[in-house]
Amino acid sequence: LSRSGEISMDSNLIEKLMQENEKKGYIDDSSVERISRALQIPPSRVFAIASEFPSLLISRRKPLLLEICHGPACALSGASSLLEALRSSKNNYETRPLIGSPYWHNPIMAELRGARERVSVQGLSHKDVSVEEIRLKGSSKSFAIPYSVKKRARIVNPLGRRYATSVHSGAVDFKKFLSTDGSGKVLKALKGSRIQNRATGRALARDIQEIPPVGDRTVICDVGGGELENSTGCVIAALAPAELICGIFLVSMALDAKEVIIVVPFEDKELEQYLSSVLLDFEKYIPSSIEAKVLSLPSHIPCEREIGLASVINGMTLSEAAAKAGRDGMNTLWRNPTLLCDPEAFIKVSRILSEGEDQYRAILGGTAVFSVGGKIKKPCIVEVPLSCTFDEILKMVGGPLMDSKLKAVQIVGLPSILLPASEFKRSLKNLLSRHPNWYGQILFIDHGTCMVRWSSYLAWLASLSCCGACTPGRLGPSYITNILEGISKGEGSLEDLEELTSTIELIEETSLCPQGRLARVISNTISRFGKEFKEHIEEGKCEAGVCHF
Amino acid sequence: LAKIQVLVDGKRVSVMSGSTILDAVKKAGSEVPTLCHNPILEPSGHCRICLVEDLTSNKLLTACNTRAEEGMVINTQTERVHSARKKILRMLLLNHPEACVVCEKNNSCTLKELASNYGISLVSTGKVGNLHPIVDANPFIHRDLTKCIGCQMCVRVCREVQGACAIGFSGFGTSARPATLGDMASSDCELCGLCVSICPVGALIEKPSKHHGTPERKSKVVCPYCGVGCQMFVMVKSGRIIGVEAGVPGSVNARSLCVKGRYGFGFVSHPERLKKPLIKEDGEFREATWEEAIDRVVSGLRQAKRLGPQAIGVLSSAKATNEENYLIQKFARVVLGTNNIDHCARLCHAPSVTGLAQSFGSGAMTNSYDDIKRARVILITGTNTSENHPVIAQMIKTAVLSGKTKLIVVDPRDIKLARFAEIFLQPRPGTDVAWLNGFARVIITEGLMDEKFIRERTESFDEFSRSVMPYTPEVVQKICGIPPQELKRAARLYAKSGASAIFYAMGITQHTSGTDNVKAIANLAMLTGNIGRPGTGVNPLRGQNNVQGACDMGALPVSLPGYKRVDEKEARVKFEKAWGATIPEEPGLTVVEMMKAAESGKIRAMYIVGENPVVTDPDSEHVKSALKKLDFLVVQDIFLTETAELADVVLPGAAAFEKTGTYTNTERRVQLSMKAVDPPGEAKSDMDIISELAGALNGDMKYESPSEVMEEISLLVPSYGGISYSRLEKSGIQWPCPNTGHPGTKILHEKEFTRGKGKFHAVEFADPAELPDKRYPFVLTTGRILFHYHSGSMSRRSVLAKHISGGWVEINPQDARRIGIKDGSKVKVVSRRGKVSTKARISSRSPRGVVFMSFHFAEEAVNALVNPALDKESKIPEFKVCAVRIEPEVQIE
Repeated sequence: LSRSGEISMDSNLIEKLMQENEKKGYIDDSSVERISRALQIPPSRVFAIASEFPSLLISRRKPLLLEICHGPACALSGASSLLEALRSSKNNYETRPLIGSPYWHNPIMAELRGARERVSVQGLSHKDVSVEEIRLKGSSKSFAIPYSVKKRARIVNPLGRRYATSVHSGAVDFKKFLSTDGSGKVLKALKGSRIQNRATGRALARDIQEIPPVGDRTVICDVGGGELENSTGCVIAALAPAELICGIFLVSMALDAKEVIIVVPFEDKELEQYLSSVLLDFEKYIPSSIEAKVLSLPSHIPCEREIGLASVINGMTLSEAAAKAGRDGMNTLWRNPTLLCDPEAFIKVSRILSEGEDQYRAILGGTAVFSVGGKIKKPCIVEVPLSCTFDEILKMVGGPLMDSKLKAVQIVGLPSILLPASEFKRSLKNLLSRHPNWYGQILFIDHGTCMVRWSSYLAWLASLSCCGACTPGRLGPSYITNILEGISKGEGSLEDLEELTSTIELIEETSLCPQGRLARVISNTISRFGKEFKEHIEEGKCEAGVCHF
Repeated sequence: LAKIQVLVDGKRVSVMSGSTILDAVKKAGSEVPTLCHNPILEPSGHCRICLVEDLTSNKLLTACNTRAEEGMVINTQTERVHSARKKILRMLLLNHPEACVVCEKNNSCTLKELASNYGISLVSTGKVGNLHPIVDANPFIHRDLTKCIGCQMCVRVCREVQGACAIGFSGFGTSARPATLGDMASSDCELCGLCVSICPVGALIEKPSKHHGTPERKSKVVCPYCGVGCQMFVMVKSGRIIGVEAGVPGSVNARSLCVKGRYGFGFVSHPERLKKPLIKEDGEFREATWEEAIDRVVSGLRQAKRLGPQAIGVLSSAKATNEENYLIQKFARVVLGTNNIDHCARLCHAPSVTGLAQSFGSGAMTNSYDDIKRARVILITGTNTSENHPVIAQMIKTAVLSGKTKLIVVDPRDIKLARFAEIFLQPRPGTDVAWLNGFARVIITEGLMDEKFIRERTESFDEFSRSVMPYTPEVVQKICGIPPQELKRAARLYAKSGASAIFYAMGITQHTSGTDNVKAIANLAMLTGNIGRPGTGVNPLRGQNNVQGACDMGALPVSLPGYKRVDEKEARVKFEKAWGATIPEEPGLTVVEMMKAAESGKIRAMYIVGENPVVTDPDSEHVKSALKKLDFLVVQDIFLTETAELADVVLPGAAAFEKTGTYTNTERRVQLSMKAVDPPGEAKSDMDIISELAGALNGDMKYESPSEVMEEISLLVPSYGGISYSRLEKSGIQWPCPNTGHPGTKILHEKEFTRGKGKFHAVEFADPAELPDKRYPFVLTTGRILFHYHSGSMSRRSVLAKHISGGWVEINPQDARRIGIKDGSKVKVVSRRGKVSTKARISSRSPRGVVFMSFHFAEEAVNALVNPALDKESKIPEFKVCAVRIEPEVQIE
């Protein structure tokens, strides 16, 4: 442990915590003391890190825990009313909102001593949840997440086994490439490519070039899967593991990296085992100087992703890492020069090599993978050409739910954009030309959703998505929520709108980590749907009929 | 480093590259508010209140943690900046109770001050729920996290400065708060109060100062407890001490104090303080006037003196000031005519004085606290530093946490510092010579010694080198139980670092081999040239706050002030001339010898100042019976201690904060402590009492003030030659300081040793005087605990006693299981000399076969058990090893 709080990476504190959580169901003082002794880390650090992650429980609880995902898609599907109904009914289980599920989608999760079941929130009533046993409507041994196949959409299967057969041939291709080319071509191709690194929000080529040419280097693939705004990573990894691993090693060789870490969500044991087995397949082809491992981390890290990962891997608390990043710069967070990248970018790297850069540009360069949810019939993850419009995407996913009339599409991610229905004819390409780093989740919002309440929800989400290290990050969202609640009760004033805008600007500009983007969604909502806000304030009217004055 | 130019509020300033905007702002004379910033901490930027505007980027930036860049145009007071700061403040107030009127922090709350400065009163948007239960887990700290503003100063200071890492920032989002494991008492919290002192709001409040209001004045004093010599301010209101504050400019401890220093001041105003002299009549004490008491003392001492001056013994005090110690030994030698003067240094560091004097020529710590951070390797042995010298432990921990220093811990017990150690070795108690010789053998056989240093600066190397050859790692393993590979690794680490320092304490000295242990340590330092340079040295950590000074002042039977031997004529003549009296030639008796002489009737009267030998000396039953045999006993103390209870006359003395005087800490730093409050009732300072007694016995020891005594000391003691009150008022000075222009000496033996050449000593391992056997199968080792001090006369009369009110015997879980005792069960600890009832505390800190007890609790007098066998040279008793058995006590339902 150092003065700045870093501990040895080998200590694997977070892994030990998660194992303890898994084994015992929660982490108590004795768990903390045991881990502290085993790893020679102060207990305060062990429990501080444990308490930062919602997926680690730091107190004893009932054997059965029912978690209702409260991510944006689930929120639109009525997660909070379901939770409220479950809480007011008599039951023998604990309930809590779940922030960050290992899969994109909208699951309700039930857990009994490590055995988990997931089922869609959509259409689920509290009566469907049995009081005595864990029998959830629609649950089965396999995943119950409905994915469907639509024309022109490349639909992703979670853990799609049909791709597993490609692993071996991928490994052989990788070997062939190594014997004929070496790393020169990779570097050249990477430097010329425009692949975006979603993990950092910059071009991958730039990230690679900026890695200092000193010391041992590390490449981290953030499969993620828990981020609220984008959970496509783990599905992509399950879909094309050979391509992913191949891409990771190509980049590692280009960088002369000594260490590769593939980060997967802890809850996703199958994905972890799957990627580990693929790594084994590749082992004989990988230069012996590279050490690779699959590391399980919590699915939801309440901080800016890069800071969060650095903190977890280096054993710092989130606030220490945020303070260090703020003081010394992001690149000082890692002990070694480190490249952090998302799976999609790695897969694109291997495709460039297998299909040729020109070919890649022509055929595949124009696709994007993202999740679609909200008031639609078939929420799913899609890969579509960039020429697709939002109207077309809507058709692919079965159109609006029931007779919902859609009024907006909310893009939660980088950037966070809210488009009114009048702009559904815009193509992704049109949007991406201004936001080349785009990734995220597309949510269709209907007229039954009050935009003041929706903003309030987003502020609540922001409050849970920050580490709590700085005043604007920790208290700003609550400050906004207070104002929004006043407006939804008919107690607001027009000055409140100015106060909201200026507060959001302050949060964006001054929070310790770049965590202000969820707050930015709210200012977007106010500017796009200002009329609804003003109606609440001036006329005491809620178009969605949700707020009662 | 290059300089860069920044424009702040229109003023151009030049700062070093790497400086923060806040540095530039301060240089420009502008002001920026801060809540989470403190120069002793790494900048963190948590609160964001220090926002300023940079016109070159048109951004709001936090001044405290953003580096200044060339050409920046910074505005600190624009409308944009003010509006942003106000909003941050509103957010904080939204989450903060409006309870300022009843908040203890009130007028010293930074949040309240800023809210007032920025014109913010009530926050109109309503409150965010932030209710946390008040934590009252200990008698020192009141924790109300409802008031916490998330600045994390407590978390950071605990890690970065204290090195305790007891507080974590727990949770995430709005509910993130500082927290300790369980409550504070069961966590790693050392209750040092540093977090409380730095908290900008009322979330952390010192309980002992609670509800006492605002202090009227403060006085700069030296802490009355251990030998670190922390300086602090005592806060005074209505003639009473209401609190303590660190942060004396230039002090060795900076902002740190330990739990005793910060909270253990209650003894000063304790109702049991002696306020009038007491005379014993028919076995009962009665209050007396000073005249009566002095008359009684004079007649008692005169009567004994008729049998010869050697019939009187005097014990001075390592708690008394330098001036008082000087006067006490002068009183003994000049007025009573005896060299029978000693004090408790005999029981702690006599081997250091004896051993180091033979090796180097001077028996004090060779280096300074400053060198801790300069050492690349620190070897600590026989010192449970976190408990005994907590502020030095803090310095060691922060050095280790900086990543530049590696720690080797060699201790039979798994002490707290072991967690910070690169290598932790657990030898069997009493086997130090073996592993120290083993270290030396590894270093010599692997050619890691500093040959140039050995050749040019030392003598007797060959004999020493031959003597360590039998101590192969395998032999050492047999004796000590240290694995050979670990021994080699540690020896190499110590030898190769370039700057290795050794710190030790009574775990090394309190043995029958104490002096040999010290010599073996000195050998190791000379062997590797780790002496006389920054970051190196041999550093004994002294126990009491003025044990170094009491030795310097000659409160020793063989030494006059300045360590001049009393049996050397030249030295005697110098003092006889100055004092105008004859000094006896024969060295006097040590404290343990005095007790034996009292028992045998050779000593008939004793004058004991500020010591409690009934509790602190070995074989205390014997001490008690010896004191009872005296014709006359006078005890001068602040409480009616266990020793005072046996006295014929008890004289009420002034406590530490009730007198002005100097103390010399373990790094040889002489520091001035100012009188803060008057003594209670008719109590007087030791200096006044001694002067009065001397006058009554026809001696002339009248001094106007303590500074006049120091003037005399500086004339007679060369190493104090340049020390005066006027210099000490500014800051402490480390001796030797031979003249008024000398700055003091940070490192001893730089060019040559005090004795000329450093001398290697061949020392052989010998078993402790008493080893475990079938009847007494455990080794008992004794020591202090963090929350109490010495015989407990001070600490047990303060709030510290509310936290820990009794002792225990610490026993390894496997041993406990074997003899069928549980944590908290009542047990008897029995040795060949006595038995003690106490509670068992089961802990793996003690290895199998070893039990540990502290000696603070008279009712569980551990010193009734320990072996009074003495080290031949220094005459220190073997407090650290004796054989005992543990008997479960039958519980009566």
